[in-house]
Amino acid sequence: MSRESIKNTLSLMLITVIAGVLLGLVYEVTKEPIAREKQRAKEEAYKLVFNDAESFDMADKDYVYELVEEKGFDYDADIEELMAAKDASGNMLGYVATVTDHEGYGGDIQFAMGVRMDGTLNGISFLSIGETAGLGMKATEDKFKDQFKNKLVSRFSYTKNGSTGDDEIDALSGATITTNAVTNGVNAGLYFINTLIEEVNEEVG
Amino acid sequence: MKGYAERLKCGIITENPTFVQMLGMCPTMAVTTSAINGIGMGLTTTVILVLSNMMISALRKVIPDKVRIPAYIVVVASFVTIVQFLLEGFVPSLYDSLGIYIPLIVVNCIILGRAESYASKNNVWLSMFDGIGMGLGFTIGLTSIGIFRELLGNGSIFGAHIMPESYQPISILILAPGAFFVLAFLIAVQNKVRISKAKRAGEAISICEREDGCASCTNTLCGGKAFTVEGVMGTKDKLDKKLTIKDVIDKENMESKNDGNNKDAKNKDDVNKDTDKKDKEV
Amino acid sequence: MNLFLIAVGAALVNNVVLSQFLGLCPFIGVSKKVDTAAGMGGAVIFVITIASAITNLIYTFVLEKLDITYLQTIVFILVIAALVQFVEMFLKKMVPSLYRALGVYLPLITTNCAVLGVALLNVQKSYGFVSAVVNGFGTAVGFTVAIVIMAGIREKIEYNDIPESFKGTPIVLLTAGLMAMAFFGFSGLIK
Repeated sequence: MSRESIKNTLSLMLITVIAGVLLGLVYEVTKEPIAREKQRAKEEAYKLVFNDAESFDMADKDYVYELVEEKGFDYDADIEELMAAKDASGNMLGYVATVTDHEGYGGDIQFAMGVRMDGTLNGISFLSIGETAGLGMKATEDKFKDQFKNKLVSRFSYTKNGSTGDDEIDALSGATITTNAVTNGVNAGLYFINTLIEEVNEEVG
Repeated sequence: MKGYAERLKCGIITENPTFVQMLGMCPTMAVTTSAINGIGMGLTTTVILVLSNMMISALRKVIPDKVRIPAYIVVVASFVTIVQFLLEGFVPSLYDSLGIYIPLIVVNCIILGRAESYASKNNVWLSMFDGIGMGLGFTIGLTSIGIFRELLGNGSIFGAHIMPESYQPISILILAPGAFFVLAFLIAVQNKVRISKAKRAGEAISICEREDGCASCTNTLCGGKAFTVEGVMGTKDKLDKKLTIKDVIDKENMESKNDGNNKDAKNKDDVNKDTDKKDKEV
Repeated sequence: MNLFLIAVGAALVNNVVLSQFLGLCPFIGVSKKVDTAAGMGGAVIFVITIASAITNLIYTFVLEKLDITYLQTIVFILVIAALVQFVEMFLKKMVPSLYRALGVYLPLITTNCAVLGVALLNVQKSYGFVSAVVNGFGTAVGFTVAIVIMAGIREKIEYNDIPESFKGTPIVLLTAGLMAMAFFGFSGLIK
């Protein structure tokens, strides 16, 4: 090793270390506001899918996971968060779940969905979706999303030939993968929440 | 003052990274499915380009010549990461749409190209304006391709439907093949313009050191060579003299015989000079 | 997840060049002759597979352990650049025959977008070690398939009468577009 190459290596290392430390600083400084921003976006989505609820409390999703795994849970989706939606006087109105489906064309699709205690799906609201603009991205338009609104269905399926019933979703043209991912994600969430509701009702009854 | 204005003009018009230099083609094709994605990617790249240009220009006397490329990469990667945090936190929809192409800005030829050919030789303010000019040029390129693809492929611009109901969108244009087709026609139109220009007035000489701009990018990242050398030479019908992989191979073979403890940067440097020379022969 | 599905998905369905636009520059620059294209493909397979393995290990055992995953871009690009240098030196000393076949292409792919792209995608899809390596290998095979086919077509195109303004890159891009359409056919392979 000549003197020069040692000097080169050292200066490169120095630059890298300084860059790393600076990045760490920026990360620490921005972590807080970013987390707050994300939380705000989430709460907004909860409000959208359950507009008559006053407060949302964290529910025990691990407990429900145990329940559904006993029954078998074969969706390529995860329930990230489960919230209990309550009105102003603290009565249970239903549940809100944050679902991440892994079958999207452009990666994971994350959305919030609200389900009432009688099993009615209030609607869905996307939190994170990176599908192809003009094709899969049309999932975020009301025309598609509203097909999930106010439906008492235990399982949705999608069709390309015009939906005939409440449980059929019109597929987005040219974006079957996105349609499939969203429908499956919704089904996973419904299955998850309905399992919990059944359990709660049994306990009460 | 004149210098600053010239930097802007070079970046936006005479040396436009998308339409003239054909650099940064990966993001150009990948994210221009809609106008808003195009403008988002363009502005993100602009911010990173301006910051890295300024930083590299400020450090140009400190960074040892032999390790400059890795040092530039570190600087650029740091800025990319910072911008990525901010996008994720405050513009999550754009963050989702651009996805993996945000961290991949690190390997965008434009940024390292400008660092190598401009920022490392000029002062901070000029480098800043160079970054702004190039970045805006890139943004304009991406946005106009995005508008074109979104309009024909989806019947809308910036998400607002403007085509009549009866218009049947040509969906293929917003799919992957559409990107290739649009770009192919873009280059063809440009070649056409260049050919007729060359016929009219012989060789046109650009005021902004064009060869330099492209050449430095050639071997740093991505190998922008494919586009620049071929794009230019193809039109002049000198296909036989084109820089082929064989040249690089021969050069490499010679170098490997010389051996020595050449580092990454040195190696690239040599190939770079080689290309420079070749470009000038053209 | 079935490993085979990951490999097929990466190689054909989501072809790295034709649907993700990564590694476009070598795809267009080094696709004039079938044998050079194949050489490039071989080198890419070699590097991407190793890079997937190493970046995965570094991510799991260093970045995640120290809770500094935000450094991933900077670490990955440096690791890849160093790795290519190292692979080159190693091959030159230890396996000269392989070096003669692939070595000349190695410097060209130091920063092929596809290498970094695969490393980042592996993280994004939270693949384990084996899946990451399989995904890297599949992606690189996809690159090789695309570039070799392209080179085969270009060898024929040379003899065709092409409008002057379409000579060079434009005709290659048009061909790539048609190939991308053909590759849509594979999307029925996995669901």
